[in-house]
Amino acid sequence: MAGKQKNEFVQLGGILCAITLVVALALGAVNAVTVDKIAEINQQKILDSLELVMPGAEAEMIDIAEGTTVTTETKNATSVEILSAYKMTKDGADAGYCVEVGPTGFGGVVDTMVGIDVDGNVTGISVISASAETPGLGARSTEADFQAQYTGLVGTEVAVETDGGSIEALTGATITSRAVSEGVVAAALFAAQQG
Amino acid sequence: MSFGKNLKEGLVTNNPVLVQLIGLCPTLATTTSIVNGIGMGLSATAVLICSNIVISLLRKIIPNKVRIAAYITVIAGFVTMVDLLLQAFIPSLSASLGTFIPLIVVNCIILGRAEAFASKNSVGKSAVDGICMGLGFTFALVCMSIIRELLGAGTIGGGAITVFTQPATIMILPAGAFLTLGCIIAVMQKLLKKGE
Amino acid sequence: MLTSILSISLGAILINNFIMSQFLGCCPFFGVSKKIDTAVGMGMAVTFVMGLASAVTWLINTFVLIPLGLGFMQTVAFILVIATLVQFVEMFMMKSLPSLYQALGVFLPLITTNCAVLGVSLQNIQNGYNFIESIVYGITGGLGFTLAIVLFASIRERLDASAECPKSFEGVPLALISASLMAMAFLGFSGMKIW
Repeated sequence: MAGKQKNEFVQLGGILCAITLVVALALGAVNAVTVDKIAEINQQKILDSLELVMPGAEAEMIDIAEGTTVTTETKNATSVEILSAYKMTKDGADAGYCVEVGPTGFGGVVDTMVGIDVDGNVTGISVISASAETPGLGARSTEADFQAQYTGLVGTEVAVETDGGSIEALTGATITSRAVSEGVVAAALFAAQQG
Repeated sequence: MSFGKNLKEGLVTNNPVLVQLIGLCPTLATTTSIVNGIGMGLSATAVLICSNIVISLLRKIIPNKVRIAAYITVIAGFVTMVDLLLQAFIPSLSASLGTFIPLIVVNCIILGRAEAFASKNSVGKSAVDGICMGLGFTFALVCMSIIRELLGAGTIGGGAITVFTQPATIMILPAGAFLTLGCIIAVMQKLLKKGE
Repeated sequence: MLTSILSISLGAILINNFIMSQFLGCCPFFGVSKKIDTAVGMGMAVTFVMGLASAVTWLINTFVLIPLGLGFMQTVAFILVIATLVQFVEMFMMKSLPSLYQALGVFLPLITTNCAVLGVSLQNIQNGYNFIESIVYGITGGLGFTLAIVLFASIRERLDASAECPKSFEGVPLALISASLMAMAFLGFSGMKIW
């Protein structure tokens, strides 16, 4: 009896293992086809956003430790993760930095690229992904009208109107707007640290 | 059973969402815009058709005791494929549907059809069942998302057409999802009762 | 560390409640909410499995999938782990804790297909939580689920006893509209900002 039971276990396990193995192989094949394409798309998103926030400049990636954060010294003092950073040059001259920040919005991280020139002014921002924000509210932070407000401001002084700044928050999405603003401040602080 | 009768059952009389009340999570969560609704519906339909076919093919091999685990593995495999393909070829849709693509795995409609239909019927019938149930699911999602996008954002088709500019934002928020589904099911109950 | 745990807990229970704002776990929410007793049982069982699943899937992801470069197998691996886990918990309870099994046993098989469990496992990885944070998120997410389902069940008990409504709205539609009102109440928490 015991032997028979053991046999059944081996058989059941074997069939399950075989199914899992086939699934794993099939997935491996699909992954092999798509992995480069996905990496390329993500790379292209970064390049597009760099071009958007600092047109015509050359970018050189700076190595930063994973999980680097900058704490803003504003009224809301938040810690913002720096996702990536680029040293920018234009026609051979120093043009400042582009910093990809990940402040926490309403539903998750609002992935934002911020351009900071050598004087610490914002050259432009681009929200790469706000997919965790509410559609129609916070997700509208990806619209150009909202982002254009940041251009030309002094990076470390950016704030939404409710916090005494000049940024008009998106309707019904103060939290997202504030997160983007905190991200810009963090980016400016990070750029200043780089010298 | 003929294809037409199957289709009617999937779309109306036995609609998975509106009548059987399964697969509610994606119905409520992803119907904030018409594009998302259609994307989610078709992704789930693709997974449902594939998994129904494979499970029907394997129905004599899979031992009864471990059938649920086997079904889930097959379904999870197809879901991951759809996820990877969307990421590679329709990245914007993949970004806006987010974790709800991997969560198709636990969509009760798919496991439910595997258990109730594909494990007992031939490959052809299972494929037809997958198409009809999948389209029924998509139909429910599209109904939901048209109402919610129109009232909540004032647009049709992701801002392509602006109908009015002072939308009732609450319709796009979770509360609006529950409200819309409640009203649609009420209409369904009324219609079905009339048909009897 | 402590503040991050506090903010995760508050976020998971109130602000980003699994049912009321993320729609994870809706099937049991509507299926098992006709009586307060069963709602409490379901909530407890879900909380338990979510905590356990968070821990196990985090370990598997960090020590097996990532080192082997099998990140794309996440969904398959997680759902298998969850299914096995639920089975083991059921067997263990039946043998060692028969009284608890009597209370929660019937709900266990349903939990495998509860998207809150798979959802929490995937979100832990996506949000980059560490081991402790993952467990905290799992358990508090479950508590948030319990809170919502128990409140909802108490509303439905009263509704069934006394409500008069149009015939077409009887049953599920009325429940959905009550849920909608509850979601509006939970919306009030969304303005809360923690640290």
